[in-house]
Amino acid sequence: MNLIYKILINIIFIGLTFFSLQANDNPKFNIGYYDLENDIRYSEWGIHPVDIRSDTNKTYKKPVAGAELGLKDIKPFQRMAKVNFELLTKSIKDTENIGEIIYNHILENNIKIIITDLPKNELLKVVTKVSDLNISLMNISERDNSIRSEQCHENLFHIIPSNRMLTDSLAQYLSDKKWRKVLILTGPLKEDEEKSNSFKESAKQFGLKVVDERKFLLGNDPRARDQNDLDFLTGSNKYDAVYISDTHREFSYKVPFATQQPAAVVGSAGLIARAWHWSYLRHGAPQVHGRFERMHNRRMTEENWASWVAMRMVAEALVRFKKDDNEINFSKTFIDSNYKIGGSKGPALNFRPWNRQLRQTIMISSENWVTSIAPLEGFVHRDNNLDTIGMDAKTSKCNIN
Amino acid sequence: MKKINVIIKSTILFLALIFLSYKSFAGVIYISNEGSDNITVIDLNTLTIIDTIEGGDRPRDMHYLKEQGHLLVAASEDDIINIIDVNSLKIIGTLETGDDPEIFDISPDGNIAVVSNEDDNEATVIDIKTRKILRVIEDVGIEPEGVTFSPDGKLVFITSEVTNTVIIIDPWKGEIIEEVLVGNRPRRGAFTQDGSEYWVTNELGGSVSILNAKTFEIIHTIVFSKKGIRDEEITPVDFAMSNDGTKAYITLGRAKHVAVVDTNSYEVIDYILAGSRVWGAAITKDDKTLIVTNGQSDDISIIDTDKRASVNSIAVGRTPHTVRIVE
Repeated sequence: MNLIYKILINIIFIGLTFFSLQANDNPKFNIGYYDLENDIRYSEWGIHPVDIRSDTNKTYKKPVAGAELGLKDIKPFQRMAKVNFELLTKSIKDTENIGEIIYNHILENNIKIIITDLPKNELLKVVTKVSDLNISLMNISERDNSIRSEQCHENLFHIIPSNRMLTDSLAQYLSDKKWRKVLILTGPLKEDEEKSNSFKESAKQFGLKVVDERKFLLGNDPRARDQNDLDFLTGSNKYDAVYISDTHREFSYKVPFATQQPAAVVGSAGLIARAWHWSYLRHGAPQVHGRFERMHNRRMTEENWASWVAMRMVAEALVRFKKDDNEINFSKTFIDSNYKIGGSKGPALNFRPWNRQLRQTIMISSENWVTSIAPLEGFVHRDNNLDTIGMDAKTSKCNIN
Repeated sequence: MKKINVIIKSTILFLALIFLSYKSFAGVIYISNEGSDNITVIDLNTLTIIDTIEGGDRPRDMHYLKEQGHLLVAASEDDIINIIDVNSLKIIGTLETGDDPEIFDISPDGNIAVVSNEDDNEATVIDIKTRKILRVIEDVGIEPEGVTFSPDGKLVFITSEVTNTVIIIDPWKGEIIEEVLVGNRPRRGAFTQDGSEYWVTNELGGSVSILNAKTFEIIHTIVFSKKGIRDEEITPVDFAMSNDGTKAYITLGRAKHVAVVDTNSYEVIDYILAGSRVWGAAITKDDKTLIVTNGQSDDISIIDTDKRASVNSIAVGRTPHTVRIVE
């Protein structure tokens, strides 16, 4: 009797082992993640001196942290998707040959979709190189407008908002507050110029008046006082707000409360339009902040949010759109009218088919509070109010459909 | 003389009326205000606020234990469920819950409570008599929210906001039985009165998925749509099922409306205007009055279900979350 009992237990045990093995027998689904080994955007000490004091010891700033949380969050999807998700990350030093490096990495590792944390030049190299693989790229950090317009690509999906979405959000806010006269301060970089140009377009669209645009320079050279001294830079004109474009935020931190006129400072300092901010308390955002902070012991930045969402978008697509043979065409799925995903910041998110930009709300925030959410109430669009910010089907010069 | 007679008569009538209205003291409405950490207690008959009582830190979901006369309130930031005696309106004890309890449900026999722990992706089963945790069920999806006992008390249906699934568990054994993919961001669930169907709101899908309560298959999906309201504004959250089994009332969040659905044909009969970000809902025993909480306008709407219109609103605390009616 005892023996039979033992045999029975053994059979059950073997059965259970078999079952659990089966559960782990799902095919791997590899997601590639690429960034630069030395990316000035995440330099160890911070680009501007304020970081040295406020952010010591937290050198691990790269947005791959968001993808790591994303991987953890999509593990429960495996029960439904019947695949095992793997995140394969690679930091690339040789930016010259970045296209080939990523191309080979994709083939060697059977990678199905890739997330890129790359600046524009490197990103475009990769897009061109991998175009014959028909693999989708998810851009989580480059905000440049042209890659959503004349330099767009049908496989290049943008999770992070464009500069235009950010400047439109600020313009809506200024217009709503009736702070209509704006002085623009533009930095020396090409990226600074792109931002200021984007703001000028937004100003035109939302009825703001640009009273002047001035170039600033970082430094103390007395011969360049008109460009490095705020009294000169912000003097003489009448304005309600100052828009400043300063990609590396080395200069702009000094501007709020230091202008000649009492004025709101927006752009790279003061009120900043962001995809995500840690102070947001609604729509389940605190839960996401909480999980991220417990995992990484720091706050979740915009790019971290974007890479987290990117991972979730992959899982969501697989669970709902996968064919029986485990194949999925992400480029098609992402622009399917039934595809949408929650990003823990309000409405369901999906892509604009005309330029592959993720529709989303923008958090207009100070350093420690989300002051407003764009699109602001009262700005309405024929189809989707989220399209009042960013390039519309008509304004984008992207021709992929 | 005649005049005095009239005065006396009318006084008697007046007193009788007061007495009658006192006798017919029919019920009490409880509103948990998660922003102001208190509970508003309202007389259902006169719709006047009787008292505002302490609810713990961030009070959210509430359930009434009839036998004991206890109102259980999840105090999310205290990591407990407070037990409020409805006669004294005082907190008389607490239940252990694990981290951050938001939504919970009580078994039909009143013996156990199951609560979702949003931050830990867990469900906690609590023995109500001993007030201790019986067991913790792990891995119930990311950000579990809605918790609903099946009417026979055997199973619990839990929604997972991020994983977009309903996870069906056996709370007595602590096992996960099944997982069903529903719409985007499922929030709350409710069973039809006959227990044959489980309905779940999909906040970002703007829809309700209806599951067969036995086979767990999705048998129907109701997608809400109303002229003049953007589809993305329609964010369904909570239910009130009519006691006669014919109607489901579903709060639509940012759309500021409550949908009225025929539970047999699944047709949307009407949309009733309520307040800003309408989410919590409860209905009176006679099915005549529906009460909903408006999270963003800090008030509740009183809806006449015959007229299908809001007939009154009452300012309560900050960010009203859940409404329960005790009759």
